[in-house]
Amino acid sequence: MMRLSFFLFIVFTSIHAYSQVSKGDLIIRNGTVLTITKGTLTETDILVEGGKIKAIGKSLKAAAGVKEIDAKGLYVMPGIIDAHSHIAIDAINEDTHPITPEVKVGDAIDPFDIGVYRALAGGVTTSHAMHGSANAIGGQCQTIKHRYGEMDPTSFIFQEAPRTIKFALGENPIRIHGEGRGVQPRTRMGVERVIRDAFQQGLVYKDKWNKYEAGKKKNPNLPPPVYNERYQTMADILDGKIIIQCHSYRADEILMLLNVLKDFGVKKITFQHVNEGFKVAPELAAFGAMASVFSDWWAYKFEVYYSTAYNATILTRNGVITSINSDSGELIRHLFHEAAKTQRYGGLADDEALALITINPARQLGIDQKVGSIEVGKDADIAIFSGHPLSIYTIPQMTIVDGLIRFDLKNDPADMRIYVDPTEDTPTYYGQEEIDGCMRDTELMYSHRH
Amino acid sequence: MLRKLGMSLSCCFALFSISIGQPVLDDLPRVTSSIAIVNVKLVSAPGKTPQVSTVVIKDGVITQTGQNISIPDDAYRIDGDSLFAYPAFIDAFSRTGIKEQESSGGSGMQTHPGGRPQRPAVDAEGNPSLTDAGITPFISVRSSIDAKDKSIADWRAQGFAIAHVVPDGKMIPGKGALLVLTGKNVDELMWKEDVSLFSQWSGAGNSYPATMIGMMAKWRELYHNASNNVIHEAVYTNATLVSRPNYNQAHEALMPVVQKQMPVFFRAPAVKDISRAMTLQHDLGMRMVIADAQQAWHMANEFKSGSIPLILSLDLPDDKSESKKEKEEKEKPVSVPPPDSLKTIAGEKAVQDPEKEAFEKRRNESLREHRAQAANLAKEKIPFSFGTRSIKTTDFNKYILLMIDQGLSPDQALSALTTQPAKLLGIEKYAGTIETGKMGNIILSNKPIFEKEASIRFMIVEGDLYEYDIKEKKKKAPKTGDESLDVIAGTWSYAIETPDQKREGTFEFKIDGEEIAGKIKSNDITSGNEDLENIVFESDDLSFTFDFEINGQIVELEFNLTVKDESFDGTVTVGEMGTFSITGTRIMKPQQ
Repeated sequence: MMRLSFFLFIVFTSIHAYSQVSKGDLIIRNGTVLTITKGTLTETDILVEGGKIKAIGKSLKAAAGVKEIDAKGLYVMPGIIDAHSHIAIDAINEDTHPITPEVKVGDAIDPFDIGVYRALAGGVTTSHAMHGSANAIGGQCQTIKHRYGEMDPTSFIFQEAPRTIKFALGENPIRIHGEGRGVQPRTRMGVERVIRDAFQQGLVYKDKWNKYEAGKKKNPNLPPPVYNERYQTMADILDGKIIIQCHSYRADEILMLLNVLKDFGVKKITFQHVNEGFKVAPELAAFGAMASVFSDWWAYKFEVYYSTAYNATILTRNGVITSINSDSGELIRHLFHEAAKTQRYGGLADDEALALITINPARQLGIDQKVGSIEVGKDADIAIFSGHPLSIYTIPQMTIVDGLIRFDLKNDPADMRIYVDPTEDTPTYYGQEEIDGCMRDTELMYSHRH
Repeated sequence: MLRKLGMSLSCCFALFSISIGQPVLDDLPRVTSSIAIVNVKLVSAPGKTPQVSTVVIKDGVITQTGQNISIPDDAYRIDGDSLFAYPAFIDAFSRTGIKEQESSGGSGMQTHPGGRPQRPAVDAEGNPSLTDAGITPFISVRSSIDAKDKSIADWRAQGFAIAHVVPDGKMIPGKGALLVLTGKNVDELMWKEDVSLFSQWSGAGNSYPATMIGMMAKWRELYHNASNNVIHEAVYTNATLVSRPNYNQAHEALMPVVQKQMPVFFRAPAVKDISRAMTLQHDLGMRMVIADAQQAWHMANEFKSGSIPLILSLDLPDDKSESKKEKEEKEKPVSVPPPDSLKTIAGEKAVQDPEKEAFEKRRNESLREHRAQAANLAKEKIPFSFGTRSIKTTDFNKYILLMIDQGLSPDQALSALTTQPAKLLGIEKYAGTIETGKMGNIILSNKPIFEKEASIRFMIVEGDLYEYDIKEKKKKAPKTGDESLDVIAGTWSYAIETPDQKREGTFEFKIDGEEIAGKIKSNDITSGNEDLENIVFESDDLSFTFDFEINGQIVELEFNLTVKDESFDGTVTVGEMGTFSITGTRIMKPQQ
């Protein structure tokens, strides 16, 4: 149980530098288990050992003293995964250049962000902390686990998750760089140009180092080329080491990027927002691109007027692996409502709707072998609800990460802040948050979000 | 305060027309280069009990200590009967001696009031010059030292003899130096140059790198290239047919860091700052010192092995709750109840909100944790030094005493100001204790040094003697019509000279017993807050602060005035934007 005394205890026990992740043992009894990938099991137990799901079945035996959670009458589902958020990071946009692939939001994790606890209170155990959309190629994103209560920022890192990187098309990079600074890109054509240039630079850079490595075998005195973190990252994308996560709205720009990627032989991509994805769903499916969308959020700026709440359904029915994301510290608390909307708009089945916030985002982030469903051997990231999670009346009861209870509706104290600023004024409510969203850190220049 | 010994000595030793201590005339030699402190209660090192001893210093070096030692004929004698002697303090992380105007600009970029710096030329934003990027590891702090800067005398008066000073700037401001806090010019102050590289999490505003993530990426790239440079230079020296290495001023300057000859002093106040600096250290492997730490107790385990030395900030957060409560209570009888508060109108005491109470409790707990940082780390046996970089001289004593209140022993405090920093800076052979052969750096105080009533009577810095008057403590009981406070009561007009224009307004001071309440009125102030805070008036010096709101950001204005009859002059420091001169006159006295 996460009590305050626990925080005070870990103050002196946390270990730095890729410290071991805390993991727990427990058994959840008699719940209705929504496995997502293997159907729904009634009156079923889940045994957790060392943070992993050890067994799923009826009347399982657990070692003496293992914590028991009575889930009779409750619904047990895999922890929700948000494929697009900006919680738990202190820097979102390095908006000083249109191309900044070298920066990593994983360097700015904020373990004290109360937003993480709020996400846990909505059953979300993993999120994809993304760089913002100010730059055509923004920074590398970080998949994090919501290990709220740990003091060490590195303990939030989802160790096995592959690297991901933010691209952004359309109005945001044009506004920041073209209109704001008078540099390329000033138009959608310009966005394509700077992305192609960056890939080309990556190729040239890669070539330079390949020649150096080959030449060094003959001549050990060969001087190394100048190291460039920016183009090294572009080379890593070209080598398939990083999954592109591209902020996009319009169908034309989505097709444009697919063409660019074909030219450079890059295959791994998930489009984010992708409000006009329904227009190019077959093309996305043919490429193998995935899509992470809002359920019904649009018209907040010109390029997002042509949208539909049927987007997720149309993409799903066309064979595109689709997820629903929050991009918001508020929406992240009820992604299960967002998924449920696809039953009203498109009539997705229960498991299809729930897949949008569990196994599908896991696939998009490359972590589907670890999380996203309730299966033996997977991480014990589990959310327990009072009713079916797609019911509007359901209330999250408990959220478990790696077998440890990180949210407990009944037993958590009211004030869950970890660090309290001794000089702040007494708040009327705590954690009055900054604006979460793609355009944070740029608001002094332009106030649009997303 | 500081009295030059010149006058008094020319009376004592009428034969000589010159003096010891700071010479009255710059080019005249001292009377003698020997000082003997006779029968002083000597604490030669932290942890030692006071023992009556005599200490002799000659030519800046301690030549003898002990009892019954022969005092050289030419020694200037200080009667130590009523005095305690301590090794003078060493400031592990400091900006002592840096010219005041240096603090405003840094790299020469203009700043918007309360906002981001003004933008450089468009092309330069994404790929700025090293200077605009705040990456200047090639700069030595020496160029910004002014031997006549007030801070040198001020910190010396607090007991400091040696300071490790690092330059102002952004992400990598430059290289630090060791100063001995006595001397007429920079060469005399300078002990060792380029002893450290200074880095901090301070972005380049509108230029790259602007954010934490940009700075982390940039550090990695710089280090990587400096490492390549080291290899390339070696090959270029030792082999033939090798092309000349690329020259980059920053990479060149970082080579001693890569070669682990120069430690990086990383300013990391908050726990996240520390953790990110440590991530860099972990990834790159440089020698690192965590400096200016204000929340290091969260990371205690990281410092246990001692491989990353720790310098604690002497800064402590203000106790907001107390000052707020006092203010509220004072305002109670006169304040008009707000119309929406029915309870107050009914004259009932407002019921405390339990949620608010819980918030208050946690905030107080957090405040206590900050104050107990040093004590808790000492309990964990984690070695640390103190650095003054983020505090004002006037807060030094107050904050040390608050830390001692929370369980830091005076011995632990003394070691964090003497032997620990000496070890950290590699000067333990020369400084940190009072022993034969060490530099003649001694504090003489009237009481044990960290007692509340203690004050420094003499400072000896490398054999130079400075004498201080004991400030008379203000009497507690308020006298009716206390004259000293009436001097400032009433309304004053003021004018601040800023580069672009003159700013004018009025101050109003009301005296109630020993309490001074003040208000500021000006067309420049639109936020509604007019209250002056932290008002202190002693002899002729009046100081106070005001939270000024510019574009939604609070900037603290710090006023330091000297009052003479019906007028004052002095300075006002506007956050980090600079210090400006201010003058004023009294236009109205309070009605009797």
